[in-house]
Amino acid sequence: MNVVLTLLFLCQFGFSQSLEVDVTLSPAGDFVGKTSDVSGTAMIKGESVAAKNIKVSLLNLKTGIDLRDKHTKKYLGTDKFPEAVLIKAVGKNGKGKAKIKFRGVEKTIEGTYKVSGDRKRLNASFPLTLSEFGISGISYMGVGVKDVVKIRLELPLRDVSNDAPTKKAQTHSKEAP
Amino acid sequence: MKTSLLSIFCLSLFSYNLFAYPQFIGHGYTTCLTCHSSPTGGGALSDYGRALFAVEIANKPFWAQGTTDERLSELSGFLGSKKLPYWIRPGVKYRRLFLEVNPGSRGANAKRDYPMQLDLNLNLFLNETQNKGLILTLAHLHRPNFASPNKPISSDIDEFAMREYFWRQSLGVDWISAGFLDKPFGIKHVDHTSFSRTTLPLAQNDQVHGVQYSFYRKAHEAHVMGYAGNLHLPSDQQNAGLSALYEYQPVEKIRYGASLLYQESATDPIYGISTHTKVGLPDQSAWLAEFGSKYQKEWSPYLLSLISYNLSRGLYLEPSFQFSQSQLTSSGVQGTRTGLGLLYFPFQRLELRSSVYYSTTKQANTVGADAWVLQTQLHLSL
Repeated sequence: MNVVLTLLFLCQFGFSQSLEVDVTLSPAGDFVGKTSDVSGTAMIKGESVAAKNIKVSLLNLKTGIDLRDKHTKKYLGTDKFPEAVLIKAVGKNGKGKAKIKFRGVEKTIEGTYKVSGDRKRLNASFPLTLSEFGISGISYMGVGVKDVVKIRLELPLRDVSNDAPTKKAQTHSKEAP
Repeated sequence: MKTSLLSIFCLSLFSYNLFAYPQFIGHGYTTCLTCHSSPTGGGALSDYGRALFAVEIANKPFWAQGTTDERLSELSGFLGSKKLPYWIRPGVKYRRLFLEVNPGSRGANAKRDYPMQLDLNLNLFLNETQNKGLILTLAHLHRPNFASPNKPISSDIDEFAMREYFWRQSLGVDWISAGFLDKPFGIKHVDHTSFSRTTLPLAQNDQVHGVQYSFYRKAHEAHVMGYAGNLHLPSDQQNAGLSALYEYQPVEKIRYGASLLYQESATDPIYGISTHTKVGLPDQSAWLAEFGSKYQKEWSPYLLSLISYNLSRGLYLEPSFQFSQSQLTSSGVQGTRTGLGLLYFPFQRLELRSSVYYSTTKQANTVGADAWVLQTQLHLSL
């Protein structure tokens, strides 16, 4: 059983780049949408983190049920907006702000993050209000979706604390082939 | 002693079942109310539950191989694709049991073939979102004593009993239910003959009149019910009490739970305590386990472990093990039941179940009533 639990644990957290969406249903229940189709890297310098141009393909978002995957793509409008983009994000001391573009709408959102002990992974978490991005009235056979979902984003992290380039190095770099 | 052991054993076999499938946590479903009318599961399926049954749980029927899941979902209603007004949702559930004890044996054996259950569901709602409504289930009884410990509607109408009737209403996130309904406790699963349901008063007909508050938060779910007992029964048999169930979900598809129960009785009060886990495994399989005990002058512990292994869409292999002990002394009766079941949903509305159980009961210095039991069930859910 320990092996099974370990495997389950790895399934939950094993992706180096992944996006998970915690969706709460009405009248009750929940599900998680997942994709590992995420590109981009976050950076850490000292206690500050930053990321830009992180792209998430919504075409491979899986919810565990094929029909629900289909409905999810319909509500997200993936034929017109196949990806969501984290345009720019900055954070310090576990709190951050990010500018995202989702379904053609740009918004600044706030959230929290954690850096792994080895400073190689970043887990960010933030709420997202669907109606602010033009998604509302989701209902299927009497079961609806609550307006606020929770996004969990895991990214590889590059420590640039010691990368501060000198002016000379930058010049040299420009001359390199 | 041997006769009494055999009686206990047979009673446990010939009880019948209610419908709740907590093993569907393997499909990612952890909350009963998503698919059922009752906050703790069982009873009539909601529209969503019917659709899920059609597209996720049951096999795609051979005559509809080219049909999309979307279409199967649309056809899952009581009248197929014909939509009923929001205020009414009927349903019918029928279950028949074919049972043989010690098949092939020249010794003590028994065969049974009888309808276990015929329930007529009628849910009436006040609003389109169906979050205010009356949930009604009328049971047709094969025999009047099949309502026990409940009783038929009256001595004149002894073929019918009310299985449940309660008002349920959303309070925003939480829900309140009031009326005649099941007590929240432990894992409410399909086999109501299991030790985990029969050790405590939680079996098929143990509904009570009470008020239940259902609490839903991210990663937390709780149900607390205060009840006056079964008011259909004489006052000295009504047995008021309190029952509570809490579940915590640390990650997707894993739930840990704990339950408590207190109930009056004609003799000493009954206390119940249990802890359980529900784990969704890869490929829509699941593992359920519950360990608990009744306390009524003596501790009477029980254990349930069931694996639901999803072989293919609609087909599940279910090995299980159960243990119980009537009291923690040398005179306590120990029972075990080891089972292997095959559960098949060839299409929505039909369930076929075939199980083999090896059951033992033993007591110090007493030979037990060991037996092999073959059960086959047919279940129609219209």
